[in-house]
Amino acid sequence: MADLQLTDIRKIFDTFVALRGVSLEIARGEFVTLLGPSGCGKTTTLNLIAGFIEADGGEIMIGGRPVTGIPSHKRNLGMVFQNYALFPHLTVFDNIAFGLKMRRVERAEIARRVDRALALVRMPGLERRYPKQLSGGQQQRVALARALVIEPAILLLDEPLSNLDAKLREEMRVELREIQREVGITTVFVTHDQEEALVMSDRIAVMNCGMVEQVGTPAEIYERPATNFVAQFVGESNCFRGHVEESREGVVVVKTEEGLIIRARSDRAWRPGDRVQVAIRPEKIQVGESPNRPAAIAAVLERVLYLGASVRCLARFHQRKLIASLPNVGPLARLTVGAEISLGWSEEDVILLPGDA
Amino acid sequence: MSSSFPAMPSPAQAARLVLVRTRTGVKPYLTPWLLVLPATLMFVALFLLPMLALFVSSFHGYDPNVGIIRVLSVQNYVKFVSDPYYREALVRTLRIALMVTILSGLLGYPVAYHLNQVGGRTRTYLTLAILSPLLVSLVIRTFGWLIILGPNGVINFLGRGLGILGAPLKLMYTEGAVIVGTLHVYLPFMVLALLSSLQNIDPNLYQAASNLGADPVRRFVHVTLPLSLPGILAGSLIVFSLSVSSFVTPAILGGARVKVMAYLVWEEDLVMLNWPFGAAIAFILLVITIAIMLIYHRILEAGRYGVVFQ
Repeated sequence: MADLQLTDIRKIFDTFVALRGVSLEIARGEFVTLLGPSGCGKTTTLNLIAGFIEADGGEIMIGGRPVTGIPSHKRNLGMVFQNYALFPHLTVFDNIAFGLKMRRVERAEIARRVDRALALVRMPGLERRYPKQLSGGQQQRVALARALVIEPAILLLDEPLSNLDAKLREEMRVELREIQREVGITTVFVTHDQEEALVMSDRIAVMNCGMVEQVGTPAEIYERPATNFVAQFVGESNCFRGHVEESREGVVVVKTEEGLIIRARSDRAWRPGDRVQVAIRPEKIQVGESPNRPAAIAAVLERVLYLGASVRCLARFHQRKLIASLPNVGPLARLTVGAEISLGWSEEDVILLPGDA
Repeated sequence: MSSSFPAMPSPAQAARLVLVRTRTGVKPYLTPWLLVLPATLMFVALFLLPMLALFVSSFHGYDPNVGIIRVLSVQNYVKFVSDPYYREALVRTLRIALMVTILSGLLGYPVAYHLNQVGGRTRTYLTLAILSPLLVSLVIRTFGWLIILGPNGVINFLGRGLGILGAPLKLMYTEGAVIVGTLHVYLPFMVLALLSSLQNIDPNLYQAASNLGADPVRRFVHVTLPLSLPGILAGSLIVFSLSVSSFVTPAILGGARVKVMAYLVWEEDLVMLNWPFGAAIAFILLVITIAIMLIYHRILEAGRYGVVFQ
């Protein structure tokens, strides 16, 4: 049974429609990320779950019970805010103890549970400090301890890593996930960072314009995006517009606007003449010296960007710019700017999406 | 002040420093000193030196037949302390100022709280409304209270007309009248001080408190109130120091029946012409006020939420 269930949630702010029917089910212990650009409604969704605002339509169920009309302080949820929102007038101990005091837990029990929470977030011994005496990373751990110590039904994370520097952010991704697994708590994580979402999540809900575009595991989202938006927002794609020439036994033949024939695998039923978009990830493209494969095209290499771990080749095919990403192995000398190269891919790596009308 | 310049200025800072120097011909490290110089001169010439002269004169003697006697003795201070008439005036002054401060906090907090909740244009209009009493002259405002509180004033007129009151209530020339009048004048300062500290509270903290299980009342007690302590401190220091030294309002609404320290100073200086004793009274009030403010500040800082003052 779903631990958290959103059914057709709608929210309107004055004239701005923030959510136009969001539905999502999250199982117990699952780590689900709401991913999307700013203004897509992900934070609104989180605030609705937290009870800071009320929905204009739809239903939220937590632990099988509807929470409509229940104020946030009675929902028993733990939340970590983007700016941590630690109480500046309270010590680390009192910050973490806040929720327990509100629940009238007795003193000795509070001390024990605060200790345990600090150990859980790997930060013992700083109980007497004030938030502003802590580094960003430490503040984040305190915020997490404060949210977890009340043993909430669900943990809500509102872009908690976005204020950390790059190195620490990557460490905390792993650590946050470890702590979440240790506690086994159902978690909703909001981010606009696709890499963060891919690394951390059990499942990702990609949101755009107040709607959920696709829900799936990180691999499903990346390898099999359901919509053009998902393909563009999560990772990069080389896109071609075109129409279906023929479709037989899961193999679809597409003719692009440039007249290129691209073969793709798809479970969906396509009919000849359907307008489609074809997307190919940069790292799925093989770069060769000359066109030597059936599925390869000839393009002109315009620029080579050296990124250390990988190399990006920007090439031109007809009027279209294409990107190929190569792992940095072997000599790169064969990549001469201005030379003709071949770009190839295998048909199972081709993503087929419905085209714009 | 010179420490505000880093040892190694960044290129942009260096460029700016050079510009200052070439444009004005002044060495850059002098700039901050030059900027505060006019105000400092004025402060020294028009406040510090006169205060010093006043302090010295408070030790002088006075004889109605001779005038000021240039001796140095503590007799003025002894006179003040030993006469209950003056001691009572001091206690009365402090009591009125304390009541005004407490009442302005109690009345001003809900207003500031509401102002902080409403947004944009409404807040601007409401702030203007709160400041509007300051646009009217102090004397006129105080005479307004005379119309309300006088024996034939609005309250007594209505009270008798409606048959609630038999004999007219004596409202004028009471401590209550002084407190109400002073409160009216200084309430805006309290509201503005509280508002600025409430505005500094991160709204996420309310959500965090709520999320952790605090109902609105406990959210206020445990988050809003402690975090607005700097505003409470600033507001009460301003209101207390202004009320303890106020003269016009107590003189009009309290008159000779409710004598406050400022009134005594005026009486000694302009009626008795005993300037040295007037100076001593002024200094006693100054020192006691400063002492009270410092102790109050210390107590708040040493308290549980002292960290909010850093």
